[in-house]
Amino acid sequence: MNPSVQDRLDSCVRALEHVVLPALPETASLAREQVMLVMGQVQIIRAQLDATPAFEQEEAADLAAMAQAMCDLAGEEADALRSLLAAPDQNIPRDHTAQLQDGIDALLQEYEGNGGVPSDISAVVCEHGAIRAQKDRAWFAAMGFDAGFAA
Amino acid sequence: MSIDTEPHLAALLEARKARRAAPPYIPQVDGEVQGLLERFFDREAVGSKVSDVSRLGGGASKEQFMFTLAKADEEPKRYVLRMDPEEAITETSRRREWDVLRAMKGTVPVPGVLAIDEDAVIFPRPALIMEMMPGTPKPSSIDLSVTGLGTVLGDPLRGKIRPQYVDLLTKIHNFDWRSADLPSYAAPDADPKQATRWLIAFWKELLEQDVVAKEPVIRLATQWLEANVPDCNELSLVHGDFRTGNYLFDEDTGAITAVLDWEMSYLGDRHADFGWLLQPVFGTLSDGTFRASDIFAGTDDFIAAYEAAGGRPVDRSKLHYFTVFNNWKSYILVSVLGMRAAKEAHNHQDVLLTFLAATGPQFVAALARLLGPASGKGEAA
Repeated sequence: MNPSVQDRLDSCVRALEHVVLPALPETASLAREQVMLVMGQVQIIRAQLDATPAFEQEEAADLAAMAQAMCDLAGEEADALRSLLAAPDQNIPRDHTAQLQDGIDALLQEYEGNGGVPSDISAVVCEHGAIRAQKDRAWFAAMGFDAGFAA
Repeated sequence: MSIDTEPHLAALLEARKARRAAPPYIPQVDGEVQGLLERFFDREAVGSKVSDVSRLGGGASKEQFMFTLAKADEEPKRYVLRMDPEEAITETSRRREWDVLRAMKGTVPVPGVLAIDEDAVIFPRPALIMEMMPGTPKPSSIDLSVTGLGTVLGDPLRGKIRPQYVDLLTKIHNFDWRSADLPSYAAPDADPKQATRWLIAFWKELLEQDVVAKEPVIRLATQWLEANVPDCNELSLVHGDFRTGNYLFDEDTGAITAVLDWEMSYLGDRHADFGWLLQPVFGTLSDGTFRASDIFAGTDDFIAAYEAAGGRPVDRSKLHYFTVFNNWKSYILVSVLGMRAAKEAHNHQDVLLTFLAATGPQFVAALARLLGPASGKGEAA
């Protein structure tokens, strides 16, 4: 039987928790902190592992929806973004997300010095941005930093 | 073309570009640091002896080591070496930290500074040596607190720290910086908007140099901040990072023993400090109550305490502007500078930086709310 990714990650955490951490002196405060952070990271990565491909696909789809909504409101200044949306996507989702972010950013910059971003387009960015950010907060909620997060 | 910000910081921003191509940064080890300290003090204090060198935990921006220094004819004392890694979650100057710590001595409790290697003559990167102060940044019951985020002081500590915290913040803001010796700080007094214009230009340059992912809401926030710069008619010393985790206290008495982490300080609009300490990311939530820095039950509670302690009146429209600013700045810190440093392997705490970057969506969410259609965006801040 092949060891699963989950089994391998679990074994890493156990080694850190029960072998490495106890072997570190109390005075090695940074090393102890780093071990605990690595344990936390690995445990969260383990919990996210199965859901990661769908998360990254949804992230790219959300960016595409924001870009489309902006294009629906914009004039010819958005033609480059329209071309990007129309092109067949052959990238992995992370790269597609980055490509869309670059395209949206270029359009927002286009408005600088030309009266600023129109309010309806700005509203679209905020509305879609808020929805996306809420999903990202949920994704990282296990980190324990987000006191104000409510799913 | 030079960036329109404080001259000392403009030089810093220019100099950092050359470091991008540097090879991965290898963290220092205690033995090497011992040797560096011995070489340094051979020049600075002949006959001195360095011992008991060990790393300090915490801190996402500097490599820190504590050590004992025995100078000839003096009792041995404990000191802290603060040294820049190649890149970090902040971009700051050891010279300014030196200046402000010297200037604040006697006004608020701060570590005394002993020595500086501003140009990295002995140490591999610019370094500052300061006194080791008594106290702790968190209750001993907390095992791991990532740079102090989410630190719960709890009762009765919270009640003991609260009046001291407010008193110290008012002392910082009421500090007579014009009479102080702060040679690396420049007063932005050419016009009422210069202070905040400089501030925005500094952080925007960092954003552009280090951007990892072009987040649309951040672009909007940048444009909004540039278009809505408020006047600042009363320049104050702004600490820039005064929140729970960045002061030390005596766990038995609750007495604050030191205000730390002055590296992001500058002369400008004090409302920036308010927006910073009130951020949810530095707060706690227990029994349905949010407490900023685990001290204040929200904005109104903080404003009442600050003004009652002798702080100048808080302007809520400026507080709104600096709430936007601080969410934007926080995103730049964790999701831009921190992630760039980690990606380039230019830091000693890459795993902490990638952990902290997970706070980025909080700031995007806050900015989307603050700048969205229901927020009154477009009105002068």
